[in-house]
Formats: sequence, C-alpha cells, structure tokens
Amino acid sequence: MRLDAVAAELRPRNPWEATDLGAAMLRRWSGSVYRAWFALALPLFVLLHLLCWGHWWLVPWLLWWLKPLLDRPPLYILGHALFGDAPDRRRFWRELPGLLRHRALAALTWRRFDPARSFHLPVAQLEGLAGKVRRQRLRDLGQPGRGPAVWLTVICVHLEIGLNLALLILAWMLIPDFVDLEWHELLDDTEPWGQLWLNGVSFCGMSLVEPLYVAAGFALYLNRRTWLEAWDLELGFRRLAARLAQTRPTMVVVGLALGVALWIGQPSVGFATDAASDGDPAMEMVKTRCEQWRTRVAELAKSTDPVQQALAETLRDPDLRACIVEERWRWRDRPEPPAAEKPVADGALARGFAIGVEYALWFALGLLAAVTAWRLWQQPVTLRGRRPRRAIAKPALTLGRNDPTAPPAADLGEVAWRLWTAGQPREAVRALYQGSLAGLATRHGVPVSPSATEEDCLRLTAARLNDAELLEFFRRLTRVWQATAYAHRPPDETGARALCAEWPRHFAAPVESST
Amino acid sequence: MPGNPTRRSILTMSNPALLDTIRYVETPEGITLKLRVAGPMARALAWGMDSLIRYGALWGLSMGLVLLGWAGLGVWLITLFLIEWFYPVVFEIYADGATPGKKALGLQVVLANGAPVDWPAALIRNLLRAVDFLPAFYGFGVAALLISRDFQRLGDLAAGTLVIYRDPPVKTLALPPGPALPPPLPLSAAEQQWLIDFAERGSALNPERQEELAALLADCTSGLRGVAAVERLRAHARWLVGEHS
Repeated sequence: MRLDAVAAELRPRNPWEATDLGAAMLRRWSGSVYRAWFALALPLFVLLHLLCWGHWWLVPWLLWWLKPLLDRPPLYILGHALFGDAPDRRRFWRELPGLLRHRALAALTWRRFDPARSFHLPVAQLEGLAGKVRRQRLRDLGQPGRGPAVWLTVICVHLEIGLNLALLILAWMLIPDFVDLEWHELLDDTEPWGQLWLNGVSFCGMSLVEPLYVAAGFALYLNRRTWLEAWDLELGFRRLAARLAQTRPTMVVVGLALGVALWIGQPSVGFATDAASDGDPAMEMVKTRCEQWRTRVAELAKSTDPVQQALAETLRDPDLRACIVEERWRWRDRPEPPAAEKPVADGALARGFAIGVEYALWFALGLLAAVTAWRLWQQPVTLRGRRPRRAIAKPALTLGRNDPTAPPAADLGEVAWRLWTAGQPREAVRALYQGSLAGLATRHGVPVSPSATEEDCLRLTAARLNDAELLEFFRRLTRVWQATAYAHRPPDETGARALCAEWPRHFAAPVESST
Repeated sequence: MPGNPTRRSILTMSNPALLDTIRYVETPEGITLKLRVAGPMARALAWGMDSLIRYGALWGLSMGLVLLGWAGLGVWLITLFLIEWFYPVVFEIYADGATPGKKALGLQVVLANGAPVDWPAALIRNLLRAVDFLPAFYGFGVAALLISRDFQRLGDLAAGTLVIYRDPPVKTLALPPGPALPPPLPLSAAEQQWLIDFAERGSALNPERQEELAALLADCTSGLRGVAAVERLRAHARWLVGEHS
C-alpha cells in the first residue's frame, strides 16, 4: 500500500461523512466497480436459474445468501483504485478465484449474519487476516466504528427493499394503457415468467445497492484507520520532510533569521482623536507624531534630489496629510441659544396646502396601481420572480502565486527578455517577479503566502535571508514590478536587460552560491 | 463556518485533485469556504427520525380527536396535510435549516452559496419532495443524490440548496503541558496545522506509531530518536499555538 498515491482526501471524518466518501468513491470508479460486480453476479444469476430449474423462487434467496462473496470483487477494485493501482481485466480474472476462495466457508456460514459485514470485510480481504489475528484486529479497530457500520447495514437493507418496490411501480407506471395488465399481475409469481420478472427486479435492486454498501463500509474502515494511525499526518509529514530535504543547506541561516523576524514588522499606528485638553497623553502622542511628520517633510524638501522634493510636495498635499492639528477657543459654560419664535401659520393657507398634498398622494397611488397593472399585463408572473443566475467569470489570480511549490524555470531570464523584445514589457516583468516568488519559496525556503502584498514579500525576505545582494536585487525588481503593474511605467531597455541577466544568479542558481 | 471536525483553519486548503466530499464556495472577498456536503446515509437516517416524529405526533393527535367524531376526523386530515407539506419548511426556516432529525445528525440545509435557506428555496425543495418520492420510496431522490456531485436530490437541484454537516462545537483538545520551542525553520500554515494536530491527537495513537511519525521529520527534530523526537515535535506544537516559555 502506497499511502502517498492515495486518491482520496484522508482526513479524520465523522462516520457519516466517511460513508459519503464511500459514495463519492463509488461515483468516481462506478464503471469498473459495477463491471466487477456484474462480472460475477450476472453469470451467477443465470447459473442459479439453470441449477434451480423449476424452483426459480429459490434464486433471489440464494443470491442474497451469497452476497458476502459477491461483495468481494467491488471491494477489490475500490481497494486497488484508491491507492493508484487499478487492476486491468486480465489481472482481475487471474486473482478472482483466490479472492473468492479466501475463508469462503466462514463468510457464508457463521459470519453471514455479521451486522457490520461491509466494515469487517476489508480486514479479511485486504489485510488477509483470519482467525484469532482477525478478531484481535477487529477489536483494535474498535467499537466507535462498529455502531455506524451496523446502521449502514440497516439503511442499506431498507434502501434495497425500497428500490425493489420503486422499480416495480416504475414498470407499472410505464406500461401503456392499451396493454391489458392489472397491477397485481406484476406480482404474480405462479407463472415461471412472472417469477423470472420478479427475480430480475430484485437482482437489479440488489445490484444498485450492494456496491454502495461495500464502498461505504470500506470508507468507514479507512476512516477508522485514519483516526487510529493518523494517515493524514503521515502524508503531511512526508510532504514536509520532502520540502526540508530540498532546502536543507539554507536551514541554519533561516533558523537564525527567524528570531530576528519575530521582532520586525511592527506597523506604524495612526491616531484619530477629538480630545482637546492639554496634558492628555493621547493628544501628546498625536502632537509628537505630527512633529515627526513635519520634520520628515522638511528634510525631504531640503534635499537636492528632485524625486525627494517631488515627494515632499506630494506629502504636503492636504489630501495626503497624515494629521492636522486644529486649536480653537471654546466657551466653558456657554448658555443655550434661545429657541426662535415659530411664526404662526395662516390657517387657510395651511389647509389649502394639506388638501393639495392629499390630492397628490391619491394621484400617486392611482398611478402606482396603473403601472403595476400594466406591468402584470405585459409579463406574466413567474413562479420565482428572479432572473436566471448568470455565472460570473472569475478573474484568474493575476500574480499566479497560487502554486508557490513549483520551482521557477531555469531559463526564465531569457524567457522574460524574449517577452520584452516581443513588445510585452508587462508580461516580462511579471514573469520575473513571479519567478522570484517561486524561487524564494523553493530555493530559499521563504514561504510566501498568497495573500502577501509586495511589501510583505520584501519584509519577509529581508527578515529571513541575510543576503544583501539578493535582497537589493529583489527590492529593485519589486519597485520595477510595481511601477510597471500599477503605474504603467515599464523599465527602459538597459534596466530590463540588466534585470533579465541578473535574475538567474539569484533565483535560478543552486542554493550554495546564494547563502 | 463549516470546516473540518477538529480545530482547523481555512488556510489549509486540500489538494483539489483528491477525491473529497467538500464543496468550495468563494466569497466576494476571495475567501474560500468549505461546505462539507452530507450524503445518502446521514440524510436517510435523518428522514427516518423525522418520519417517526411526524407519524408519532399524528397518531397521538388521532387518539384525542377520535372522541370528536367526524369533526375530529376533519381536523385530523387538515393537520395531516399541514404536517406532511410544511413540517420541513417551517423547521428549515425557523430552526437554522434543520428539522429535528437533521439536527440530531448534525445536518443543516443551506443555499448553494452557504447562506441560510430562504422561503422560496425551502418551499421549492420540500414541494418537490413529491417528485423525489417517485416512483416510490424516494427512488428518483436516491438516484439523483448518488449521481449529483454534491449529493443533491431533485428538490435540492431545483431550489439551489445543499445539505451540509454543521460544524461540531470547536474541540480544543488540550495539548499535554510541557516546554515550548520555536520550530527550527519557517512553516507554512498547513505544515503548522500538521504539527499541532500531531500533538493534539497524540493520545489516540499508540506510542510506537507516534515515534514512527516523528521519525519522518528527522530534519525537524535535529536527529533526536524515539520518545525524545515525539516530545520535541510536541514542544514545537505548543510554541505554534502560542505557548511561549
């Protein structure tokens, strides 16, 4: 059994959810499971009719009795398909006799009435256990799995009976009027053909339900083992170990950097307060902040660099100002302003106005009724007055960071340069930036979450890698990407060429050279 | 929010290629919700319980109404009609989308986008029970349930509803007390969750199995063996849930 090849999500579920997984498994592999079922059941159905010639009423009972054997081919298919080892036809037929022989007598006699049959079947068939070992194993699997398994049997018995009746009634519903047939004639088993018809119906019902029963029982068994042996954790640990094996050389550095990372990233805090009294600590803090802000803007303005000056100009813009201090005088105990004298309205004028409003309202009501009537006349009322829902196309993740585990292509620099020369600068920069994120995750062991912003990525990288050159490059790339993506200002040709040339050195090169 | 049985975050997205019984719903904020849709067995049991309750109530009522003669029969028939058609509707609207049977099994009816079920949806899904019941004993309903991807019967498909498992109360399994250590390297959200699960579910595993699992992460436990490795992973888990010593 190869746990890493498993084709279903093995997480600890509640028992009913586990049976649902069984139904999902049956749906996924329904073709091969039902083929395997009919490969055994259909010949048996015919054979039993030949053997019991003249006593066809026996056939459904015999089939029912042989169910434990009939269950085995579907479980065989499911067990192999789940672990990525779906058997082909030849192997199936080769292994079928051995499958049926294993402990057949016990299954058909003293274990025939095991109420949790499908839950116990995998232990005997897939683990190949028998006798005392099997009993011990069942005890290990334990009581919590058994209760739902018994309920499963109860449900499936009812389901099968219900489906048989449903099939009979469906047949009766589909018989046209001109056929002279009473409903009780469908249940007439005195004639051999009537008996054959009833046998066929019960065979159909059984064929529909039994694979579901087997699949659900198998899923209960899987779930029980997932709880007891933590299969999901084993898979997870294996994946983690594989990732660690990839990034091992950088581990020591990263481990040291982690401690630093914990102290970094304290965001600055904005304040808004209307407290105005002197000596209020919050007010003091706001004032200090404003003071810091002013000095920063002043410094920027003094700089000779035109960019810095432009920045200062922008920061002075009233819309962008971080804080404004307003100081105002206020009365301590200001008296309430006296209420203004209301002018007494002229009675006749007011009455006339009221009548006007009343007529307007009546008119509006009439108009509303007329419009409603017209609308109803125009379009009949549907059952649900809703428009059909239209699917909205989802935008793809623009940065494509949804799979950070795939390493970037080694020749990404050349690819990006080709994109640039083909007149797609935006795509080129995007490819480089995306590749860098993938490189960070896979080469340098810096897991970038899909929700991280560009600044988050920068901060994370700075905290976890102490490679100044790489960091400088990544910062430059990030700025170029931001300018291209958000300001539609792609880099000039020399800049782009330098980025493309330098990219492989940091993100595609082997790990040793970078740390 | 419907999630996994144990304490779990939505960050640990599972591999979509794997077979599972989850419906993913993306909210406008870009957050993916996991709805654990419920299949035939749980729903059959819930339906059985509801049937017992309904017919039990009708039987009890008939015992009283039989004293009133024909008038009693009339009242009883009206009650039969109301219960037969509106019992599920009323419970689904006023009791968090769950009839008593569904509640007992931890099921809930919601709209396909995870929102609470509304009047039109509840009415449609329960009026179409008549279709699902055809030809007899929910033949079509069971068939549709098994074929459709999210275990929807015909009424569910028409009304755009799902039956899901409501989240069990959050199980905060206590980690065994002990020292807390930061893991030796940054871990993704899913990886952190595995470590925490390992520490929380440890009591259900036998000691040999725990050591076997811990041995897989030799890189993380810096070469420790056996019980010491298990203890080291637990210490990391404690650190990850916020115990810092």
